[in-house]
Amino acid sequence: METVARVAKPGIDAAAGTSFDEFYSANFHRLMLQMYAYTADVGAAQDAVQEAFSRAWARWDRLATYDEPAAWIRRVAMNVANNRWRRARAARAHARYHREEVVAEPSPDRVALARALRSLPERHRRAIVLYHIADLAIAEIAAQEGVTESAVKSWLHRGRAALATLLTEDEEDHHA
Amino acid sequence: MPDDVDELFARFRAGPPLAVPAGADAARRASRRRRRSQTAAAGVLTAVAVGLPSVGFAAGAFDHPPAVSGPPTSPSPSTSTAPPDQVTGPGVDLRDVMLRESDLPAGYHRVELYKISKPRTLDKNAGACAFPRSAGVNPLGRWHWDESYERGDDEDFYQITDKMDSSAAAEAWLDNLPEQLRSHCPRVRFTVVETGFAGADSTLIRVNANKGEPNSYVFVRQGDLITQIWLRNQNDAAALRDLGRVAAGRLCEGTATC
Repeated sequence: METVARVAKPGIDAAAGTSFDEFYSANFHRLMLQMYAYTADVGAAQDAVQEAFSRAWARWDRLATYDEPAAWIRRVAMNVANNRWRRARAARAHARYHREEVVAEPSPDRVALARALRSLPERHRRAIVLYHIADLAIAEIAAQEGVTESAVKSWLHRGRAALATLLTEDEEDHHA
Repeated sequence: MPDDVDELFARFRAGPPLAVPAGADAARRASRRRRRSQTAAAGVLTAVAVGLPSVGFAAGAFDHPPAVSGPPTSPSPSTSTAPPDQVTGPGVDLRDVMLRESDLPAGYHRVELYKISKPRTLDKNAGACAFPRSAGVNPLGRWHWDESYERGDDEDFYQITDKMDSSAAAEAWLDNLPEQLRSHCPRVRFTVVETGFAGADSTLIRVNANKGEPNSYVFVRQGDLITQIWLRNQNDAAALRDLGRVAAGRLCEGTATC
């Protein structure tokens, strides 16, 4: 597999010398957005992200030395979200800690895009979330997924085409 | 559908926060709760594992007091709540006779027991052995203490020290160990690699399991104390001997016989 040079994005990922609290604060919303795009469900995204952070804390000494600990957290969160049993377990574990503050529902644009993404094949959706939301380079996605860059480009191309169709249909239904 | 997909995603990213974070402290608390429940579950399994054989073996080989994890000074988040009498036999606090982090190869750091792999102790390889009622490959110490360390993703270290009823009992147990293995474990390949390299008594035993890598265990005795050491993926006799000698020196701090 091709080796990809990973450069920490300043102020986001770099965790060496960063406390867990600082890292959490700097990355929570970004990861929430990625997981919402991935799951189309704010609650499920929140549980998955919180579960990933709680697992990260148990091994923070090691994770803090990684170039991109947020990548580890995202991978764990995606695994949690993909597994029904883990998802239910995370929901139970974190329900008691959810904050009471009311947050506005996601905007219709966001909901439409998340729903459209949700209907894509898993690989295409993953590639699109990583590329367009997590802002990873194609080479980084290829390294993370263990595939060639060509495969990632193909997933992105097909995913975008499917999204265009889905969102156009959605818009037409809305106007009808 | 906007023509520009990138613009669509840019709008998606630019919106307000989707949720109020539960917070780093909530993540920590959830992690602690899970660890406590895992420890409790492991305790139940251990009780079952120890309890069932003991029915057959009467007061035999596996009647250890419940294992306790690292000392309260551990840098790991949870702290031991073991009562002092589990680690403090007459005249000695077993925590004082364990190897220190500085005694280990560079890079090892103390971790909770559940984080390291198995088989940590020789008896974990002896499940297929047919020991008589009063024997086995666990020292029958009345007090014991264990500590675990790791380095990187695949290097683990485990040490458990038992305080026996007397020096004679400890000596007899260790002397008898190779014979126990030879006599009662025909289906497991145990090799006594070396003896007498550290402390009052010492034995280095290698186990060749049917699958996977061999495992080596160092036993060292000083007075009524016996310690067992295991390093995952380490079968270099010289390195293990050296570690056994350092362990013997530490054991001396807990016995008047040195």
